[in-house]
Amino acid sequence: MLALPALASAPGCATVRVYRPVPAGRAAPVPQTAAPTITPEPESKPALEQGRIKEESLKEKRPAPQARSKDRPGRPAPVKEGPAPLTDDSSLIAKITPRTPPQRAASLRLTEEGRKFIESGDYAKALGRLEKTISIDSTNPYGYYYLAQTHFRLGRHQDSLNFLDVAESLLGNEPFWLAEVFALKGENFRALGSLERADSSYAEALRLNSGNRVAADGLNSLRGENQPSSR
Amino acid sequence: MKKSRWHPLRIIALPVIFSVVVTAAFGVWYVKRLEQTVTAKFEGRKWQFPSKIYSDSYLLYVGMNLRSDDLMEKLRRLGYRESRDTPRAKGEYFFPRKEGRLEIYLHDFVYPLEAFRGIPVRISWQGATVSKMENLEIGEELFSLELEPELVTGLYDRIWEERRLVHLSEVPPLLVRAVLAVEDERFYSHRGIDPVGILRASWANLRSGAIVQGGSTLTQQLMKNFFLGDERTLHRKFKEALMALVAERKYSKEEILENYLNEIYLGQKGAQGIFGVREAAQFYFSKDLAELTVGETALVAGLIKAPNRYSPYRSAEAATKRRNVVLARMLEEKLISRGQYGAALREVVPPRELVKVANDAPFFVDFLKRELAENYSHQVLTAEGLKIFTSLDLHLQKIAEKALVDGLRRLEETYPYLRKRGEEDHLEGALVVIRPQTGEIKAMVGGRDYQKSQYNRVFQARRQPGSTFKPFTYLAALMYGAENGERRFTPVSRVDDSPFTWSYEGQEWTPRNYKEEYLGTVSFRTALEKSLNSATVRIAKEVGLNRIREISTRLGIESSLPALPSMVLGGVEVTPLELGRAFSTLANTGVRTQALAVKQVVDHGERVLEKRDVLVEKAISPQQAFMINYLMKGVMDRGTGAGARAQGFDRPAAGKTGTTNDLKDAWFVGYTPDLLAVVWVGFDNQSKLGLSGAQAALPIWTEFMKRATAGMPVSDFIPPPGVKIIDIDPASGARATPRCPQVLREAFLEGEEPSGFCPLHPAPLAELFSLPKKAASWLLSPFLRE
Repeated sequence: MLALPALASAPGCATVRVYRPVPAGRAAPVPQTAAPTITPEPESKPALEQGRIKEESLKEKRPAPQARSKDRPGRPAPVKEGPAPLTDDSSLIAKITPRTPPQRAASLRLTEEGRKFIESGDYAKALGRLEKTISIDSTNPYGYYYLAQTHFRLGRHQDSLNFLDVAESLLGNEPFWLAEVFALKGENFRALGSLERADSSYAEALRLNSGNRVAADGLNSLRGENQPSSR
Repeated sequence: MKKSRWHPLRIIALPVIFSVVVTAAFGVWYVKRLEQTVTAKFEGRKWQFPSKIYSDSYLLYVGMNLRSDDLMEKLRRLGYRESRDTPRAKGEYFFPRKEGRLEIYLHDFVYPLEAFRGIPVRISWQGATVSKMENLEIGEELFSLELEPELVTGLYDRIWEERRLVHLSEVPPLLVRAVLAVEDERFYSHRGIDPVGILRASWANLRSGAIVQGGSTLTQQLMKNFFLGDERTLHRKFKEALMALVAERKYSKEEILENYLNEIYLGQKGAQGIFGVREAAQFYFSKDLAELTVGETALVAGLIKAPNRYSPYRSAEAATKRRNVVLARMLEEKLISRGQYGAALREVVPPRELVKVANDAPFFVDFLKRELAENYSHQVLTAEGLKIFTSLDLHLQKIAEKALVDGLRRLEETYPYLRKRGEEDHLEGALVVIRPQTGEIKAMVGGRDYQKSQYNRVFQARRQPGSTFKPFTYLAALMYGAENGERRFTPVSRVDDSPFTWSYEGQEWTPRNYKEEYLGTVSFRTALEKSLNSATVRIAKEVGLNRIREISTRLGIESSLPALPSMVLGGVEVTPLELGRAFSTLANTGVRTQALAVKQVVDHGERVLEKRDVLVEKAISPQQAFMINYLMKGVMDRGTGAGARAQGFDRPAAGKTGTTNDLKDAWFVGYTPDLLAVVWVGFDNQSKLGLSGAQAALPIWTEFMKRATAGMPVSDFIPPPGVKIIDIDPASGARATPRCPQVLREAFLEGEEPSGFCPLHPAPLAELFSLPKKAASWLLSPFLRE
């Protein structure tokens, strides 16, 4: 029996983790529903530790949700200033209204569960939940987005990009989420060594939402890396 | 006289001594050999664990359409039993129909990576919709609920032994004592064989004149089960006794008892034998050993004597009688108090329905075995107790099988010439069902009778797809237009459907229409809806064969496609599975998925050995996918697939019929946004079928889809941004005016929609724009000509 209480992990015994993030890549942010408590994060660079990422390090160094960026005046500014940052639209539960079709509502709730599993680093469970989201509602772009997130975390960058393609085509006019998609595309391209495409993806993300910190950090870091080193 | 060296006594003694020595030596060797056998068993692998194949789990969510009858059928297959009141034990459900609610006490289940404890839940309905779900244990509202996967079948070598191992320390002491009380009360006093027990049994048998009691100890029973058969010979009894002595000398009582409790046969569930007390507790009561009541404990102990005779599945009365005998024995031995005895006697043994595992998906299982064989040997699959979780939906599987078998039978009744003309000349068919979003194979029927032919036509038969291949040409035309790169085709483009000859690389080819009927100039849409060969080939000629090949491959066709004009009309060979995969890409808004049958493989210790994830790749844009789906909806509504509507399938769906030129193969591929099915009908030996796809395959598809989608929410293909839907006059292909006798809602890629109004049925501007006449003329006169 698998009973899934709303947004709560099901009761059960210890799980066996079989997924290990593959080297190359770095932790991308998981858009999160606005959280009341903010844990200060180290101002360190993304997790690239001798070319390998440890699963634990992903949790520790995961950037904060987009909405928190306002609380960080000290962070480097985006490379190109676009229009004012968009308000945080990451809460999937907030998208459920009485008029939401039941398939979409169930799919969004499962997506939220999947997101929480990503946050806790349990990617196998996240995949299980998120695959169901698209099985119930194939037009749920957020399900595809978080599948892309999970595959990114697992180092499967091409698979992640494939899911992002689908998410992008389903998102329509949602600049906040499209920016998330492009930012994650940038991360994937960067991990794959496709720096030009990473650059343009980050730029597109910033064009859509100048407050997208992942894109801003990514672009700054990318352009910084490409500058000739001075002695 | 010289005394003889050979005294008569000596002559007699020597052979005797020799015989004794030889016998003793043989005895020693024999016992040694038995000891080796016993040791090898006790210290090696004692049991074979068949691998088990499970279906997909079943997700319920608030707001879904769900027929309560379907859910109860599902529960029944999962081994749940109906109770007369609120369920109190796992595996029970209660359904007061009038109250619109169903209460279920869910089973425990270990799913890969997660173990779930059974909880009581309540599902409420409003009409046909699930309105609320609750966890009754903590009063929490649930938004989704997953029922455990169903066991499809086991993979085993000779016999299917169903067994869950348990350590002696985990077996409730009351059960151990009850077993000893009824099977071997002097277990801790004897050394493998029990002379007192033998004498007592002999006396009892002598008095009754029949064999009413056995004198075998528990150790002897274990030796018999481990090594010996059921034959009643002195030799077997002798060997059993010797082995028991050997085992008792080498191993502790606890080791012997633990092995016995795991080994003992306790019932039958179809092909599955139930072995060991832990498995028995699950089989009879859906409980762990620790959860057994006193009465249930007594019944488990009592079943050892004759599991099938006393099985509650066979007779609740016989089971109750046997339980009471054991309870009396337990009281006599002071294992339970008089109060416990009385309470246990009052426990009701409910009659139960035995749901056997019948392998309802043999073709799917064969398909899985092939996939699994890449990573797991036969030995591993039949002995290591793997759990294989799959994409299969047993509900859809049963519907699919019935639709195919009934459909083929009906065809033979309607067209008697199709009836069996020989072993190799038997009307056959195949049906495969795919969920487009994930690529999961939900059902697979590879032929009409697995017992007669295991040839799986879904993935082994390469046949010509006929006109089911045409949509790839139309898609290529929508995407690329003409060879010079200019987009030329929209759904209202005019195409010539008259006989013509295509000269291609020095060869000439003349495509012919079905029944030689040519419609002259038709719309692009009509050419597809009516499956017009000549018009289609003309389009292909403009688009180019390489583009059509490229698109087909991109969608998921893996077979080699010769760049010949006949390819356009399906003059290539593909499998139904391959074709299903390609159309899934269209159904899934242009996103290709990988076919998925095996989802997870878990070993006996619940370690995940393998997980196959859903993987996607964008093959074409959602706009292009929508356009071709929208065109193929017309096939269902007005074209060659309209028979489905006549048969009562009225959901939004896209599809395409297929008939090969020589009428050997009949196809239908059709899908809603959520479910796709491919049907093929024909003869294995390529005999002439003489029927079109609409005649032979479509009725089977329709029957399947009607039942498969019953209760599911109705979903349609949603036009993505970049697609415009406008009313047109199908005769002119221009925007419809209020005076057009026929209006069709047509889809166009943005920017390709017709700008002018129907010249065949002109209307005044005021009518066109619903404006006062003067205002309309004044506003629009600079832009429009009437």
